[in-house]
Amino acid sequence: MSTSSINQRGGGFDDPRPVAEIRVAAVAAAAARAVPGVAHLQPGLWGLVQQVSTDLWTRVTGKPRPDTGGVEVVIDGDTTTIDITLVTDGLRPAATVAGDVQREVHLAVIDSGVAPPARIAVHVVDIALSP
Amino acid sequence: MAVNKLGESRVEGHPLPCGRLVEDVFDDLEAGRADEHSRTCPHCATARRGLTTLMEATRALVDDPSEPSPNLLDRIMQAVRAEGRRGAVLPLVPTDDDGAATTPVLGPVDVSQQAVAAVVRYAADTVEGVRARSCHVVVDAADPLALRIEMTVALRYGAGPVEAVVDTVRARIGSALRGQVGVRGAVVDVHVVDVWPEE
Repeated sequence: MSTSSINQRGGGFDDPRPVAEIRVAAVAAAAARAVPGVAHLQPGLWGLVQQVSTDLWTRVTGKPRPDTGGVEVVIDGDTTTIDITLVTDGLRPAATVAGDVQREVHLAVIDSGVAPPARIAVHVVDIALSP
Repeated sequence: MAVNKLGESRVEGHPLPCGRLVEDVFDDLEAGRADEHSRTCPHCATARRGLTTLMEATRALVDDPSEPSPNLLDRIMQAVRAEGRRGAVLPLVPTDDDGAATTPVLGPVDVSQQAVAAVVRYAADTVEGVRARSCHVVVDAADPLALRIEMTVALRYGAGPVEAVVDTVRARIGSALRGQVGVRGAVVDVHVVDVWPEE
């Protein structure tokens, strides 16, 4: 079983979309995590299940898969859209952190050789409260 | 009870193109059996290879002595909380470090209404003699960079003149909204709904 086959969608085994989406998600996740003020990316329950599955996959096969929890990528033809869900650390305004995340992800995705995303949405689900 | 093309009985199953059921191939594999058909059939051979890989992966997981990661419960609770906070959201205008709206617009940004309400309640709680109760937050229709807050608080008897305490609450809330969310409080309505005795 390969990485592409376990992410198979309806497009047949030659459909490269899921792998491409994982690559873009990995680039976006790394760029978003590096932005000051981002406490962590936050997957929902389904995303957490995917993360745990990823951990198991890595443990069983020894082949690592990137942690893309909190990042959803959809590539539809030439259009790429990215949704990032995160928690801010409360030390910088969430609106500023979100703006920085959009810019950094935009640049990182272009640097990776992918066409500029049509939309990068940022969802702040929590703000850490300062003690 | 279903009967496959080879005349074998099975309650339920997934038939291969040759007529044998995947479940039968699995049973034979587990028992180490192999009849003439399974030795020569390419479909059964393919199924056997897939099932062998699955059995090896399953065994590896069963034999894996490692415990779940210690922060697994935290991760689950964070995900549960995040799931609940994905509901009602407030649109945010992405800003630079000076608070000015950034361009170009790369996509929508939103923040959980509950997360903002938690920031507001926490800010009110930092005022001596104040306990935050309910909090309702909406975007100001006239200014997307501002919020309208309506909250209720309880005051400790003897904490000071109500007007001065409420002014301090408003100032703390305004500061928290600017510093932690990146918006202004256009209107902050504070209702004192209870007074508790000095301890």
